[in-house]
Amino acid sequence: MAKTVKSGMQQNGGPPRPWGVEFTDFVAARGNALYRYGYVLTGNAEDAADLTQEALMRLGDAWSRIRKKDDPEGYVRTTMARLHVSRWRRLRRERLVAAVPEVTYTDDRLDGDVGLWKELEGLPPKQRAVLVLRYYEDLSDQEIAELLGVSRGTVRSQAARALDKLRIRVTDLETGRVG
Amino acid sequence: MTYDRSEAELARTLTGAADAAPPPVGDLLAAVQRRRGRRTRRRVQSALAVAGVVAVIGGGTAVARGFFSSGGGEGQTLSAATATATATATATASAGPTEAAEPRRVAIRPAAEVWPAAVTKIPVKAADGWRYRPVTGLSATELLLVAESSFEKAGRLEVYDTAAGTSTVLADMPTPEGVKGYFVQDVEAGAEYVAWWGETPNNSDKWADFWVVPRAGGTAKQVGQVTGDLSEVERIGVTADSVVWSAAGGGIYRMPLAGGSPEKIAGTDGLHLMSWPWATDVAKEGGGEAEQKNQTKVVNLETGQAAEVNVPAGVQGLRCGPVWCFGKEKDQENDASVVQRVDGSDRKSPPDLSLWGGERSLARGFGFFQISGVVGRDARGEEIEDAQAPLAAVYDPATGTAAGIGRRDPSGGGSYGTGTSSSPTSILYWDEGQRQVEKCRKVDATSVPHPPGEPVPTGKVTSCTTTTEGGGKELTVVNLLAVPPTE
Repeated sequence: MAKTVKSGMQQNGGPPRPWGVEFTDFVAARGNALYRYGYVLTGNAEDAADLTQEALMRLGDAWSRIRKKDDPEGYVRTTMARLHVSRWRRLRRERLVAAVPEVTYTDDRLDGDVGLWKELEGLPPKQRAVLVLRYYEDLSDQEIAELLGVSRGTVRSQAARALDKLRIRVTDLETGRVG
Repeated sequence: MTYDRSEAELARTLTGAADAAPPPVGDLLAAVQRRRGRRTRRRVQSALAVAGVVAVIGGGTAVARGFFSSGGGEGQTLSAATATATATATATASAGPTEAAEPRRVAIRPAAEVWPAAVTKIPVKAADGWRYRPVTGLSATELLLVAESSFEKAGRLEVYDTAAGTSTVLADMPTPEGVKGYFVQDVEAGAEYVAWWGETPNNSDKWADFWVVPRAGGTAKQVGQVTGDLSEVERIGVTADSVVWSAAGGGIYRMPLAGGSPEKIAGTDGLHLMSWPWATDVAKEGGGEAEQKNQTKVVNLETGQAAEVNVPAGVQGLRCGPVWCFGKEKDQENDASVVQRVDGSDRKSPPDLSLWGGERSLARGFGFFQISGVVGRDARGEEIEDAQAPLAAVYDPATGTAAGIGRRDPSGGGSYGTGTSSSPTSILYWDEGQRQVEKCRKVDATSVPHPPGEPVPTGKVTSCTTTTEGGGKELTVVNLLAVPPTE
């Protein structure tokens, strides 16, 4: 009953293969940047690590497919944004919150508006994700819409609501972007 | 409200926060691997790349952990990563729930309690030392076995009488003359004949052959040989006058037992044999996305009747026999399984049963599921597992009865086999004496592979491997043909 070349007779899905060196290299090279993106998305270190790990795990399993598209980082960033706004994210967040000590590490080092950073915590995940994609990732509303799987109108309304809550004046109503 | 902030300030704050993010705790890659280990523990893996035997890997993964630099760029975090790995393992093993009371248990009882008449033990080897590989039940008391002279090298067919506890040879399985590297693949028990096909899997020749022997026993006869796409045999069947098979790319063919040319059965483009005369529109093997496809029809090749499957929204990997379908919900965080009739009626989601690939359909319309054993989460969000839960279950969709298969090691792992017949098998088996053992040792970090370009790590790391020990005497076998009828 040898199936040494072909896949196993009784299993449709084989065992997960060990991750290749290319993937581990990718994690070594880009892990830091991805974690920081996760930090901006989630607002705390614990969630950032959780989000980054989950997305990287999924990338690792899909590596052979993704690599061909040549944009593994885009894949991970998309996964992270989607996870962040998904039910998965909210459930995990609820579970983690109790165990996570408040990290104030950022405050003394933050080059920016500490008060604004704090207020971002009050935003619903989707609104926060839209802001991060727009102002940190520099994506257009169309790109954000595609990435999150929502309409461009939703992106704009979510952004508008979030900006309003944060008392941020929008300089260019047409694009919603600052030059 | 005063709009006292600008978009530029927001952008600067986000970038600033990213730069000022506290360094992550521990090593990212090691953490990703641990996370994958926790998940894969709940998934079925094949320990051996062979027919029918499936191993569930218990806690921890067989990888060396923690020797890559941290995401923060602070250099080596060897000790931290190793410590985290150890701490995780310890917590999972001993901590248990901190706030919940007694965790619930998986309610599925072992098959020996649910269907005692269907469970029996057989020796793992024949008197001459050849190992048995169970194929399927022929009746409530007869098991069709393949005896292997060496690993996966099928040499003869035997019928084991579970009432008498004896085995008789049905036929030898010869290697066709002049063929090197020949291996028998699937065996199929038809009403009058037992048939099988073989190929040379380790070379690139597109070639296969078919054999039959009467069910009463005798000398096996080669029916014929095929080449090209026809030789990509997926499943086979045997009728009173033909062998039938489907090719991996779809299409069902037949060849007369008396010999002759293969011919395609009309109207079978895109169809795949399931169990003669039943065919489906999904391929047997695929893995990944192909496996998640839903079956949309069930075709009877004798009558030409085709039934459309009523596929509910949010379901994937639905596979149907003539009556029942088994699949799972799309939601990745929810392991819920889906059971229904072909027409969509009697839909249910039996508790504790998961589908992680592999066989779904068994003989007599029974379903086959894995049991994750996860019964809840502790205060830290870690999964709590029922260490006594069986590894898998046979599910009777008509009555909702589930019978446990396999024995879970304390590590959470274990293995079981499914009969290797081409049609959905009636045999599940495992070795009660076998244990999975994880062995960890401290090794010098320099002996462990690390990515090129990274500094060579120093110090000691923990390297773990999982092996099996014990067993090798008897197989516990569940023969579904011996399950008492419910109606």
